[in-house]
Amino acid sequence: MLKMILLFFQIGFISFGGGWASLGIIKQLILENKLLNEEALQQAISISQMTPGPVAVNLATYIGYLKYGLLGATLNTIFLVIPAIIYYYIAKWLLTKLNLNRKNIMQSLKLGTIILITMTFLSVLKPILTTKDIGSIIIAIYALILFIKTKIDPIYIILSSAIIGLIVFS
Amino acid sequence: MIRLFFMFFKISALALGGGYAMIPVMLKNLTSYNILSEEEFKEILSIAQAMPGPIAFKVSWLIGKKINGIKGSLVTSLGVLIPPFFSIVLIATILKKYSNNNYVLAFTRGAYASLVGMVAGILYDFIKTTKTNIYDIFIIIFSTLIMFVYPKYTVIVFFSSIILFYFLEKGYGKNA
Repeated sequence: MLKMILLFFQIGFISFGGGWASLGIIKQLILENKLLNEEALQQAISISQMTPGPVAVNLATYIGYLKYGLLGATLNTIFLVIPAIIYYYIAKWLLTKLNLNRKNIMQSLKLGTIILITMTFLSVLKPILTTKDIGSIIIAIYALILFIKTKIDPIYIILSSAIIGLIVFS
Repeated sequence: MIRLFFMFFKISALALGGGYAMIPVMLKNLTSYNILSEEEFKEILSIAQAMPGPIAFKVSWLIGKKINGIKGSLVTSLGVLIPPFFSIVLIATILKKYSNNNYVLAFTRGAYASLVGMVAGILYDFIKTTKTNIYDIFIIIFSTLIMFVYPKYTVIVFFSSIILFYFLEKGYGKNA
Protein backbone atom coordinates (compact mmCIF):
# COMPACT_ATOMS: atom_id res chain seq x y z
CA MET A 1 0.00 0.00 0.00
CA LEU A 2 2.93 2.31 0.75
CA LYS A 3 4.01 1.98 -2.87
CA MET A 4 0.59 3.11 -4.10
CA ILE A 5 0.45 6.11 -1.78
CA LEU A 6 3.96 7.20 -2.72
CA LEU A 7 2.94 6.92 -6.36
CA PHE A 8 0.09 9.37 -5.86
CA PHE A 9 2.35 11.60 -3.78
CA GLN A 10 4.74 11.70 -6.73
CA ILE A 11 1.86 12.39 -9.12
CA GLY A 12 0.78 15.27 -6.87
CA PHE A 13 4.07 17.04 -7.47
CA ILE A 14 3.88 17.10 -11.25
CA SER A 15 0.18 17.36 -11.95
CA PHE A 16 0.24 20.86 -13.39
CA GLY A 17 -2.51 22.16 -15.63
CA GLY A 18 -5.55 20.41 -14.19
CA GLY A 19 -6.76 16.86 -13.87
CA TRP A 20 -7.01 16.02 -17.54
CA ALA A 21 -3.40 16.98 -18.09
CA SER A 22 -2.16 14.70 -15.35
CA LEU A 23 -4.33 11.77 -16.38
CA GLY A 24 -1.60 10.49 -18.72
CA ILE A 25 1.11 10.26 -16.07
CA ILE A 26 -1.35 8.71 -13.64
CA LYS A 27 -2.28 6.12 -16.23
CA GLN A 28 1.30 5.32 -17.23
CA LEU A 29 2.50 5.05 -13.63
CA ILE A 30 -0.44 2.86 -12.56
CA LEU A 31 0.18 0.47 -15.45
CA GLU A 32 3.95 0.46 -14.91
CA ASN A 33 3.41 -0.52 -11.27
CA LYS A 34 0.68 -3.02 -12.19
CA LEU A 35 -1.82 -1.55 -9.73
CA LEU A 36 -4.70 -2.10 -12.17
CA ASN A 37 -4.92 -3.58 -15.65
CA GLU A 38 -5.72 -1.49 -18.71
CA GLU A 39 -9.40 -2.41 -18.78
CA ALA A 40 -10.09 -1.77 -15.09
CA LEU A 41 -8.17 1.50 -15.35
CA GLN A 42 -10.26 2.67 -18.32
CA GLN A 43 -13.39 1.98 -16.32
CA ALA A 44 -11.95 3.88 -13.35
CA ILE A 45 -11.15 6.86 -15.57
CA SER A 46 -14.66 6.90 -17.07
CA ILE A 47 -16.25 6.83 -13.62
CA SER A 48 -13.93 9.57 -12.37
CA GLN A 49 -14.94 11.99 -15.08
CA MET A 50 -18.66 11.38 -14.59
CA THR A 51 -18.75 11.89 -10.82
CA PRO A 52 -18.65 15.34 -9.24
CA GLY A 53 -15.27 16.63 -8.12
CA PRO A 54 -11.80 16.95 -9.65
CA VAL A 55 -10.94 14.04 -11.99
CA ALA A 56 -7.51 13.40 -10.46
CA VAL A 57 -8.91 13.31 -6.91
CA ASN A 58 -11.73 11.00 -8.01
CA LEU A 59 -9.30 8.64 -9.69
CA ALA A 60 -6.99 8.55 -6.67
CA THR A 61 -9.94 7.86 -4.36
CA TYR A 62 -11.37 5.21 -6.67
CA ILE A 63 -8.12 3.31 -7.13
CA GLY A 64 -7.33 3.53 -3.42
CA TYR A 65 -10.77 2.15 -2.62
CA LEU A 66 -10.54 -0.70 -5.12
CA LYS A 67 -7.18 -1.79 -3.81
CA TYR A 68 -7.33 -1.16 -0.07
CA GLY A 69 -10.84 -0.02 0.88
CA LEU A 70 -11.62 3.17 2.77
CA LEU A 71 -8.12 3.53 4.22
CA GLY A 72 -6.54 3.35 0.76
CA ALA A 73 -9.05 5.84 -0.59
CA THR A 74 -8.40 8.32 2.23
CA LEU A 75 -4.61 8.09 2.08
CA ASN A 76 -4.51 8.36 -1.71
CA THR A 77 -6.63 11.50 -1.65
CA ILE A 78 -4.53 13.13 1.09
CA PHE A 79 -1.22 12.30 -0.52
CA LEU A 80 -2.38 13.57 -3.89
CA VAL A 81 -3.14 17.04 -2.54
CA ILE A 82 -0.34 17.47 0.02
CA PRO A 83 2.34 18.22 -2.63
CA ALA A 84 0.41 21.34 -3.68
CA ILE A 85 0.78 22.72 -0.15
CA ILE A 86 4.46 21.75 0.16
CA TYR A 87 5.06 23.25 -3.25
CA TYR A 88 3.35 26.49 -2.24
CA TYR A 89 5.81 27.10 0.61
CA ILE A 90 8.88 25.98 -1.35
CA ALA A 91 7.91 28.20 -4.29
CA LYS A 92 7.32 31.18 -2.01
CA TRP A 93 10.76 30.71 -0.48
CA LEU A 94 12.46 30.07 -3.84
CA LEU A 95 10.88 33.10 -5.47
CA THR A 96 12.28 35.45 -2.85
CA LYS A 97 15.70 33.74 -2.87
CA LEU A 98 16.32 33.29 -6.57
CA ASN A 99 14.58 36.33 -7.95
CA LEU A 100 13.03 34.35 -10.79
CA ASN A 101 10.89 36.01 -13.43
CA ARG A 102 7.23 35.22 -12.77
CA LYS A 103 6.12 35.59 -16.37
CA ASN A 104 8.79 33.18 -17.60
CA ILE A 105 7.82 30.65 -14.94
CA MET A 106 4.18 30.77 -16.04
CA GLN A 107 5.20 30.32 -19.67
CA SER A 108 7.47 27.37 -18.77
CA LEU A 109 4.69 25.72 -16.79
CA LYS A 110 2.31 26.22 -19.69
CA LEU A 111 4.79 24.50 -22.01
CA GLY A 112 5.20 21.79 -19.38
CA THR A 113 1.44 21.34 -19.36
CA ILE A 114 1.54 20.72 -23.12
CA ILE A 115 3.97 17.86 -22.42
CA LEU A 116 1.55 16.41 -19.88
CA ILE A 117 -1.47 16.73 -22.16
CA THR A 118 0.39 15.21 -25.13
CA MET A 119 1.35 12.38 -22.84
CA THR A 120 -2.28 11.99 -21.70
CA PHE A 121 -3.44 11.98 -25.30
CA LEU A 122 -0.98 9.25 -26.27
CA SER A 123 -1.81 7.06 -23.31
CA VAL A 124 -5.59 7.32 -23.65
CA LEU A 125 -5.40 6.83 -27.40
CA LYS A 126 -3.13 3.77 -27.29
CA PRO A 127 -5.67 1.15 -26.09
CA ILE A 128 -8.35 2.07 -28.63
CA LEU A 129 -5.80 2.03 -31.45
CA THR A 130 -4.13 -1.23 -30.49
CA THR A 131 -7.46 -3.03 -30.19
CA LYS A 132 -8.62 -1.43 -33.49
CA ASP A 133 -11.79 -0.37 -31.72
CA ILE A 134 -13.58 1.43 -34.59
CA GLY A 135 -16.66 2.30 -32.49
CA SER A 136 -14.53 4.09 -29.90
CA ILE A 137 -12.55 5.92 -32.57
CA ILE A 138 -15.79 7.26 -34.07
CA ILE A 139 -17.09 8.36 -30.65
CA ALA A 140 -13.73 10.04 -29.98
CA ILE A 141 -14.00 12.01 -33.24
CA TYR A 142 -17.60 12.94 -32.39
CA ALA A 143 -16.45 14.24 -28.97
CA LEU A 144 -13.51 16.12 -30.49
CA ILE A 145 -15.74 17.94 -32.98
CA LEU A 146 -18.29 18.88 -30.31
CA PHE A 147 -15.51 20.02 -27.99
CA ILE A 148 -13.76 22.26 -30.50
CA LYS A 149 -16.70 23.52 -32.53
CA THR A 150 -19.40 24.05 -29.92
CA LYS A 151 -19.68 25.44 -26.40
CA ILE A 152 -21.53 22.40 -25.04
CA ASP A 153 -20.57 21.60 -21.45
CA PRO A 154 -18.10 18.65 -21.47
CA ILE A 155 -20.29 16.69 -19.07
CA TYR A 156 -22.99 16.44 -21.76
CA ILE A 157 -20.42 15.33 -24.33
CA ILE A 158 -19.31 12.60 -21.92
CA LEU A 159 -22.86 11.50 -21.08
CA SER A 160 -24.04 11.45 -24.71
CA SER A 161 -20.95 9.45 -25.67
CA ALA A 162 -21.62 7.01 -22.85
CA ILE A 163 -25.18 6.55 -24.10
CA ILE A 164 -23.96 6.04 -27.68
CA GLY A 165 -21.54 3.49 -26.23
CA LEU A 166 -24.38 1.78 -24.40
CA ILE A 167 -26.33 1.43 -27.65
CA VAL A 168 -23.42 0.48 -29.92
CA PHE A 169 -21.31 -1.76 -27.69
CA SER A 170 -23.91 -3.77 -25.78
CA MET B 1 -16.66 28.95 9.40
CA ILE B 2 -19.41 26.37 9.25
CA ARG B 3 -21.12 28.41 6.55
CA LEU B 4 -17.85 28.45 4.61
CA PHE B 5 -17.56 24.68 4.87
CA PHE B 6 -21.06 24.13 3.53
CA MET B 7 -20.56 26.65 0.75
CA PHE B 8 -17.57 24.71 -0.58
CA PHE B 9 -19.28 21.41 0.13
CA LYS B 10 -22.27 22.45 -1.98
CA ILE B 11 -20.13 23.81 -4.83
CA SER B 12 -18.14 20.60 -5.00
CA ALA B 13 -21.13 18.29 -4.71
CA LEU B 14 -22.94 19.97 -7.58
CA ALA B 15 -19.99 20.45 -9.95
CA LEU B 16 -20.03 17.72 -12.54
CA GLY B 17 -17.24 17.69 -15.06
CA GLY B 18 -14.13 18.29 -13.00
CA GLY B 19 -12.43 21.08 -11.13
CA TYR B 20 -12.64 23.79 -13.75
CA ALA B 21 -16.42 23.66 -13.64
CA MET B 22 -16.24 24.82 -9.99
CA ILE B 23 -14.20 27.99 -10.52
CA PRO B 24 -16.96 30.28 -11.87
CA VAL B 25 -19.42 28.97 -9.26
CA MET B 26 -16.91 29.71 -6.48
CA LEU B 27 -16.37 33.23 -7.78
CA LYS B 28 -20.09 33.91 -7.88
CA ASN B 29 -20.72 32.54 -4.39
CA LEU B 30 -17.78 34.29 -2.72
CA THR B 31 -18.41 37.69 -4.29
CA SER B 32 -22.17 37.62 -3.72
CA TYR B 33 -21.61 37.01 0.02
CA ASN B 34 -18.85 39.64 0.04
CA ILE B 35 -16.30 37.15 1.30
CA LEU B 36 -13.76 38.03 -1.38
CA SER B 37 -13.57 40.63 -4.12
CA GLU B 38 -13.19 39.62 -7.74
CA GLU B 39 -9.61 40.95 -7.83
CA GLU B 40 -8.66 38.92 -4.78
CA PHE B 41 -10.17 35.83 -6.37
CA LYS B 42 -8.30 36.37 -9.64
CA GLU B 43 -5.03 36.76 -7.78
CA ILE B 44 -5.65 33.50 -5.93
CA LEU B 45 -6.49 31.82 -9.23
CA SER B 46 -3.21 32.88 -10.80
CA ILE B 47 -1.20 31.60 -7.82
CA ALA B 48 -3.14 28.34 -7.95
CA GLN B 49 -2.31 27.91 -11.62
CA ALA B 50 1.39 27.86 -10.80
CA MET B 51 0.87 25.05 -8.28
CA PRO B 52 0.55 21.35 -9.12
CA GLY B 53 -2.52 19.34 -8.14
CA PRO B 54 -6.28 19.56 -8.65
CA ILE B 55 -7.31 23.17 -9.31
CA ALA B 56 -10.45 23.06 -7.15
CA PHE B 57 -8.41 21.92 -4.17
CA LYS B 58 -5.67 24.54 -4.65
CA VAL B 59 -8.14 27.41 -5.05
CA SER B 60 -10.21 26.37 -2.03
CA TRP B 61 -7.06 25.90 0.04
CA LEU B 62 -5.76 29.38 -0.85
CA ILE B 63 -9.16 31.01 -0.28
CA GLY B 64 -9.48 29.41 3.15
CA LYS B 65 -5.94 30.53 3.99
CA LYS B 66 -6.73 34.09 2.97
CA ILE B 67 -9.91 34.22 5.05
CA ASN B 68 -8.79 32.46 8.21
CA GLY B 69 -5.23 31.10 7.91
CA ILE B 70 -4.50 27.38 8.08
CA LYS B 71 -7.76 26.74 9.95
CA GLY B 72 -9.69 28.29 7.07
CA SER B 73 -7.73 26.18 4.59
CA LEU B 74 -8.69 23.01 6.38
CA VAL B 75 -12.36 23.97 6.39
CA THR B 76 -12.58 24.91 2.71
CA SER B 77 -10.48 22.06 1.36
CA LEU B 78 -12.35 19.46 3.39
CA GLY B 79 -15.57 20.97 2.06
CA VAL B 80 -14.32 20.48 -1.49
CA LEU B 81 -12.83 17.02 -0.98
CA ILE B 82 -15.55 15.27 1.01
CA PRO B 83 -18.38 15.16 -1.58
CA PRO B 84 -16.33 13.55 -4.38
CA PHE B 85 -14.77 11.19 -1.86
CA PHE B 86 -18.08 9.75 -0.73
CA SER B 87 -19.67 9.73 -4.17
CA ILE B 88 -16.70 7.75 -5.47
CA VAL B 89 -16.78 5.33 -2.55
CA LEU B 90 -20.51 4.82 -3.11
CA ILE B 91 -20.15 4.25 -6.85
CA ALA B 92 -17.13 2.00 -6.40
CA THR B 93 -19.07 -0.16 -3.96
CA ILE B 94 -21.94 -0.56 -6.41
CA LEU B 95 -19.65 -1.10 -9.38
CA LYS B 96 -17.61 -3.78 -7.66
CA LYS B 97 -20.67 -6.00 -8.12
CA TYR B 98 -21.47 -5.00 -11.68
CA SER B 99 -18.09 -4.15 -13.20
CA ASN B 100 -18.39 -7.09 -15.60
CA ASN B 101 -21.98 -6.35 -16.57
CA ASN B 102 -22.21 -5.79 -20.33
CA TYR B 103 -24.25 -2.60 -20.04
CA VAL B 104 -21.86 -1.06 -17.52
CA LEU B 105 -18.91 -1.99 -19.74
CA ALA B 106 -20.54 -0.47 -22.84
CA PHE B 107 -21.48 2.71 -20.98
CA THR B 108 -17.99 3.31 -19.56
CA ARG B 109 -16.39 2.36 -22.89
CA GLY B 110 -18.37 5.13 -24.60
CA ALA B 111 -17.45 7.63 -21.89
CA TYR B 112 -13.80 6.66 -22.21
CA ALA B 113 -13.86 7.18 -25.97
CA SER B 114 -15.26 10.69 -25.49
CA LEU B 115 -12.33 11.44 -23.22
CA VAL B 116 -9.87 10.55 -25.99
CA GLY B 117 -11.57 13.07 -28.27
CA MET B 118 -11.77 15.78 -25.64
CA VAL B 119 -8.14 15.42 -24.61
CA ALA B 120 -7.26 15.91 -28.28
CA GLY B 121 -9.41 19.05 -28.17
CA ILE B 122 -7.70 20.36 -25.03
CA LEU B 123 -4.30 19.72 -26.57
CA TYR B 124 -5.36 21.60 -29.68
CA ASP B 125 -6.59 24.57 -27.60
CA PHE B 126 -3.39 24.64 -25.59
CA ILE B 127 -1.07 24.55 -28.58
CA LYS B 128 -3.13 27.25 -30.30
CA THR B 129 -3.02 29.64 -27.34
CA THR B 130 0.59 29.10 -26.25
CA LYS B 131 3.56 30.83 -27.82
CA THR B 132 6.02 28.16 -28.87
CA ASN B 133 9.21 28.07 -30.89
CA ILE B 134 11.10 25.28 -32.57
CA TYR B 135 13.18 24.48 -29.44
CA ASP B 136 10.08 24.28 -27.26
CA ILE B 137 8.44 21.89 -29.71
CA PHE B 138 11.57 19.75 -29.82
CA ILE B 139 11.67 19.53 -26.01
CA ILE B 140 7.95 18.76 -25.87
CA ILE B 141 8.20 15.88 -28.34
CA PHE B 142 11.40 14.51 -26.83
CA SER B 143 10.24 14.59 -23.19
CA THR B 144 6.82 13.20 -24.01
CA LEU B 145 8.39 10.24 -25.75
CA ILE B 146 10.74 9.50 -22.85
CA MET B 147 7.89 9.80 -20.33
CA PHE B 148 5.65 7.60 -22.44
CA VAL B 149 8.19 4.84 -22.95
CA TYR B 150 9.87 5.06 -19.53
CA PRO B 151 7.24 6.17 -16.99
CA LYS B 152 9.85 5.67 -14.24
CA TYR B 153 11.64 8.85 -15.26
CA THR B 154 8.49 11.00 -15.52
CA VAL B 155 9.30 13.30 -12.61
CA ILE B 156 12.94 13.91 -13.56
CA VAL B 157 12.15 14.46 -17.23
CA PHE B 158 9.28 16.79 -16.43
CA PHE B 159 11.24 19.06 -14.11
CA SER B 160 14.30 19.15 -16.39
CA SER B 161 12.02 20.28 -19.22
CA ILE B 162 10.52 23.03 -17.06
CA ILE B 163 14.00 24.27 -16.16
CA LEU B 164 15.07 24.14 -19.82
CA PHE B 165 11.95 26.06 -20.87
CA TYR B 166 12.68 28.66 -18.21
CA PHE B 167 16.21 29.33 -19.37
CA LEU B 168 15.13 29.36 -23.00
CA GLU B 169 12.50 31.99 -22.17
CA LYS B 170 15.02 33.99 -20.19
CA GLY B 171 17.44 33.88 -23.13
CA TYR B 172 14.75 35.24 -25.45
CA GLY B 173 13.87 37.96 -22.99
CA LYS B 174 17.43 39.23 -23.15
CA ASN B 175 17.59 39.22 -26.94
CA ALA B 176 14.34 41.04 -27.35
